[in-house]
Amino acid sequence: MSRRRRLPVRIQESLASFLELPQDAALDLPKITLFGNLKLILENHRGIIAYTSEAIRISTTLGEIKINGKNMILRHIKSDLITVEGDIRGIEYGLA
Amino acid sequence: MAWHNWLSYLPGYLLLEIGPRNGERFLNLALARGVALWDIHRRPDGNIEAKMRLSDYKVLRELARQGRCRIRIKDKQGLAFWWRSVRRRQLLLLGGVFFCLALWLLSNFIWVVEVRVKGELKQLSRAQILQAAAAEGLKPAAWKPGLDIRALEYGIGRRLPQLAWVGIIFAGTKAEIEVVEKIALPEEDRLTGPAHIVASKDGLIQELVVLAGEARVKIGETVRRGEILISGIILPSQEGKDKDAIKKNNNLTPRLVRARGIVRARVWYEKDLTAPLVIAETRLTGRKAMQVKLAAGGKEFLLKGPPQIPFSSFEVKKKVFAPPSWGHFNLPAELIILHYQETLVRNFHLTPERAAAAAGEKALAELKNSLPAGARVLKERIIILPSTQKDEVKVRVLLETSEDIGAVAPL
Repeated sequence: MSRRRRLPVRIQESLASFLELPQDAALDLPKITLFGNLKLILENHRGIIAYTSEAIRISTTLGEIKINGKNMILRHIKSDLITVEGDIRGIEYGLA
Repeated sequence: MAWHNWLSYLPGYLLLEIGPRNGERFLNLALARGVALWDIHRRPDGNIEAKMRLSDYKVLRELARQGRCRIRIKDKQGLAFWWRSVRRRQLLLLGGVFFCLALWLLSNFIWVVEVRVKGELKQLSRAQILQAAAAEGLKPAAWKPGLDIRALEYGIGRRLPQLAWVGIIFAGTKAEIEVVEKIALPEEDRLTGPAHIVASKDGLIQELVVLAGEARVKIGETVRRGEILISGIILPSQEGKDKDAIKKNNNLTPRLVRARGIVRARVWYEKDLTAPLVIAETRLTGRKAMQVKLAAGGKEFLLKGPPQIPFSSFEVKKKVFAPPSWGHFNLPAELIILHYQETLVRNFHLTPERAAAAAGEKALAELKNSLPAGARVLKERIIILPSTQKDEVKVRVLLETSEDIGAVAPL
């Protein structure tokens, strides 16, 4: 994503709600889609910090997001999205 | 997922094994370079496996150096690699081509010829039709493109004049010959020699149309069975105009023809029937029982259900499950399931009127069933007769019809 200087978050938020833009696009937030506990799609990420089959740590604009589970694999990684499959048990936000 | 696999199979992909350390760094570097990776999983020994497009192979070395990690190419998949391995084994390729060719070649032959008839064949046998088809070239192992369906249909029809229609359909390697037989003329229409038309039953003449021959009865006359209705002998004296000529020639031999015509007459039928007043009726009570038995070596073993059937009267349905036979070897055991349904026999008392009505309807239906084609029912009556027995009723039914009573009798 862009490396431009950003407006303060509060102003971004009010601007986004005024323009009725989707929050994730306007605020550059990660978007997480879950299919039950089998599949997780994380859009708008900043890279992988650590990957094991029990825990995946992904860097985002919110800080670090940790996905706990069992037998997890990374089905796809692309520059804007990561797909995790396996037995997902929990998601933790380690806010920066 | 399968579709995705095919999409990656065509251009080819590499299966990478990324050394135990700095795996994540490699993944992030790949992401930054826009190298797509998929099916990434960590193996128990700590190495990461991932798949990568073949076209990204060039940057792989650079990524490994930057990420300071060990990368091994474990496997190469794709059309290009497959083609290379096939080229090394040309005989295999040849075999594949040969297989396809043989399949195509063999599917161009007719292997089965079947005859399909609606109903039953009356004048011909299936073998005769197959023989005619074979003579025209339609037989097993015939080359399909060399067969002309129209010519075959025409040819079979010409060989077998008993057929009214022949249709041939190819269904793969099977040829179906559909035939329709000509309907044979009725026996009496095949008689061409001189003949009378005689009454086949007693009746009152109602309608008389003479097409050939000489009428011997008039409308309103009663006739008995066997009486000549239309004569096939035309006496010369009655041939009007030629009377004088015949007299002159002194030729008095009568002319013989095959008499034809329609003689409709009123015909009466009657039939007596006795019916009982008490009908024994078996009904299911709804109580059921089931036994499962195993039959082996001439003995039966009860597996489930009561050893004694708890009903005095019952109906039983038997299902036998035999294991599938393997060639000529049959397992000498089978499973028998018996369903019992208790029945109750009840005597049903009918009033004499109802019994008589039912018996009368039954007798009328039987009579009507035996009527010849074209008969019209004019009147029907049910008469209750005095019965000698107490527990039965006696009825007589009368039926009046209008029908053609003419029958051909050769001279």
